[in-house]
Amino acid sequence: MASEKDYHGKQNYVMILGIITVLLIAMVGVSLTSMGGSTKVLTIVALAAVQFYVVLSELMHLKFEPTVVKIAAYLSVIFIILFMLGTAPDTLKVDLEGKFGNGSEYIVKD
Amino acid sequence: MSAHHEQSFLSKYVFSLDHKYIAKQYTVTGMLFALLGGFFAIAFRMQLAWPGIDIPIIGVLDGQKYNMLVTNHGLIMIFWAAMPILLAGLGNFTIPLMIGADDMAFPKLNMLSYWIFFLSGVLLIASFMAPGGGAAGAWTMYPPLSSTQNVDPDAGILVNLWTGGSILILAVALEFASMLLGGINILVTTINMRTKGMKLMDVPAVVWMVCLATVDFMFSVGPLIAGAVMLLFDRVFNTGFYDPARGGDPILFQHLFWFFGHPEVYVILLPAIGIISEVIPTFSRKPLFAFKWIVIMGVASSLISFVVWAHHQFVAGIDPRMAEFFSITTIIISIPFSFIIFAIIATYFGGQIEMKTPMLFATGFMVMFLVGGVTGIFLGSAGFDMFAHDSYFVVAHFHYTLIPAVFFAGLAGFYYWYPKATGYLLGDGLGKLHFWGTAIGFNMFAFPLFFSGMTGEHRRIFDYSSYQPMMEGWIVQIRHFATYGAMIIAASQVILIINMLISRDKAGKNPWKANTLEWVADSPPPHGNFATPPVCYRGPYEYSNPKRSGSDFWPQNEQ
Amino acid sequence: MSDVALERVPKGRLGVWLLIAGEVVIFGGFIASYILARMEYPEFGSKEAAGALNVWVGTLNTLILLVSNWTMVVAHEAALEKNLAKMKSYMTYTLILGLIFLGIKLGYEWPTDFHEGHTINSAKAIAGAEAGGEIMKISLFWSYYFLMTGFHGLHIVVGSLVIFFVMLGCSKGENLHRVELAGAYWHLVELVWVILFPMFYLIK
Repeated sequence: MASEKDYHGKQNYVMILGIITVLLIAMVGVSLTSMGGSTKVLTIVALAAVQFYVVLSELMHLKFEPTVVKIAAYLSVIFIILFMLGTAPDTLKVDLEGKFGNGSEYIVKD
Repeated sequence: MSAHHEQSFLSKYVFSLDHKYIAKQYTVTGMLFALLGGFFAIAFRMQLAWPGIDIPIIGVLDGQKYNMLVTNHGLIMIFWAAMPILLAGLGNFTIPLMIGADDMAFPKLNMLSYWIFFLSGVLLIASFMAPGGGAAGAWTMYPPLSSTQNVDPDAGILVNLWTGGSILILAVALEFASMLLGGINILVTTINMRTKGMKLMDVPAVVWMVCLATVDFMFSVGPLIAGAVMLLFDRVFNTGFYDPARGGDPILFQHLFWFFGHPEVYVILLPAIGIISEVIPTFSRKPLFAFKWIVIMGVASSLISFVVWAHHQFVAGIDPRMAEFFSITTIIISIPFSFIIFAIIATYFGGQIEMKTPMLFATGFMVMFLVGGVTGIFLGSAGFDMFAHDSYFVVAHFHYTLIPAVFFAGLAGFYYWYPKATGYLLGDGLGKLHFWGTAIGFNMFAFPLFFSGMTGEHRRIFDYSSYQPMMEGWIVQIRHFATYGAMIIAASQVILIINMLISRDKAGKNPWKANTLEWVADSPPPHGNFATPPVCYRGPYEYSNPKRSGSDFWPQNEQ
Repeated sequence: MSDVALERVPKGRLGVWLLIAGEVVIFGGFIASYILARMEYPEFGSKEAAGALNVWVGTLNTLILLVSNWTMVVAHEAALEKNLAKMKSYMTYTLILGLIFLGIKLGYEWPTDFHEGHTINSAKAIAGAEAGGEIMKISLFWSYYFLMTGFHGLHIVVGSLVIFFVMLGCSKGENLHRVELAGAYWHLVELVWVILFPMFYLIK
């Protein structure tokens, strides 16, 4: 049976704190530069995702947990992404006229 | 777990930590709410059949009252009847017994979950008494109607909080919290507390299905909780999350709602499939056909259920490319469910069929759910749905899935496990009468609605008198016929109550000669369930196994 | 006869992980809604919206929360070694840091925003603003900001209470496994903030 003895003493928490802090400084730093719009956003998002992963896997010991817990944790993130993918076309008011030949040219645009 | 210490009245009958007692609390509360929801349905069906009629207790309906009844009928039946009975009641009662455990993993949390649920029910009733009456924006609570009904933007926070729509949101939120906590309990119990020798495929189908339903619920409810909070804020704090004039988007709420709403129907369906997967093998004296594949298909359908939700929004103005995608996924999800139904039908073949009451209800489920399932495929196609959406065709479809699930499968389970839970057998003759009354009444109510729906009879209309095409003779007759059917369903449930009151035949430990572990315990099981924890030696469906001579069943705990 | 397919996890820990998964989906609903709105309205990044948030205060607060998560994990390691004194001190540091986080947010950040005229439904105060116009969109930003940081703050309060009561219950060395569970909830609060901070303060 999995237990806390699996990870006791195996992690260097000071180093983990250091990594997360460096990621934070990097994120703030990138936000202050004058990078192009989407590159800046994507870099910050990527850094945040790495930070999220480090907290989840190292600090919360997910990497030591058995499969069922890993599935539960990652599935929750996947479902949110799924939700955004399904909702985005409606809330982002994408201009449909004439695209993809699926009748969108008949949609009345205000 | 001592069975001998003195317990006060409160700790034994009110705040019990025993999973069986809590299951009974959930089941009885759920059944009482089902009666309330059913009463609302009779009320508005009477209005539909005889517009302007004076309904007992409620009086004559106007449009607003009609909407309130329709809204709360849906909400009550789904959240306060189906879920407590099929998920919390069924899960809490059967899971520890079937896996050979002495109770759930977190008994105190279990007790807390029930009382949070009870509180949510109190809030629901309170919502009817707020100024302006209960919520009346349909069970789907779409803004802007639900975010502005009875709301005065210039009034204070408390004034807008004490309105039907706002209190309802709080009631639903509490119900979600209760089911989330209960769900954690169910999953941890099943993963951790299986008795010695019980491998995953030795776990009975009903436990698998309740667990899958729990997973479906826990991962889908989040966006709706977020959406409901934002809706509440729109009402109480006058924010503009769903108000286009303030930059908000009502379609966002629809997506947040249906991302949960669709998995929710499988949360109700999967336990029902689990119940009949137990009842039918027992009364056919045959193993459940392709049990492993039924489980795999159950997992598949749980996963696919997360990518079909926008089929509820085909006519809401969503991106047509997404309508295409969701049509395809919706039709695909019929495949695993068809497999499961075919496998269960195959279970009957060549079996020694015993048509006792649980088996009759289970067979009724099979027949009627087929109608619901097939009409679901019609509606899953965006082209057809554009015609049928918001018509009684949809109402007939979902009643042909929900009523078989909650009533037929639910009652099959109730008659099946009642002897274990109470120690008494329910009368078989009365049980069969109950079945026929319910089945005849239900089909009288629901089947004609397919036809009136195809003619264009629109949902959520309280009086068709001013709409001539809907006042043609045969359509009016359908409305009458459906109303009589609904009344027959309601009247038939009295038979069950009578049966429960007069049944005095004692059931032994295993009246159905079934294999699963709950039949090893006494009827009713004491605290701690088993004198010694049973050991599991084989799967749950070893009926008529030629290796076992002299008996047509082979209990899981016997060598 | 053992079951390799599903390795059993101590039940408290399994329960908390399931709770965490559920909470991630709940906050995910809020976050998804905000991200969709943000992608649609660049106005969210303007001076009166996200531009009015103080990045430095936000960074400081993030750092405080990060350190509090470190102190909590140290407290847990101390509990595993049955070092009760170290466990209690580090749990206390965690509580203090959490309190400072709330103090900065509720004592400085929010009042500053209120003072500048931004509330959860600012547009109510702006009569005659054009429907669907820029002022309305900025007001929507603030609605999301207060809603989500407010719920996050609520979870900090709940998490702090959990840590406090666990600390009381473990003071004699019993039920030490609860320290991990309290810590897990505290880490969840951090996980959410890891997303909220860049989302509101950095992406303009």
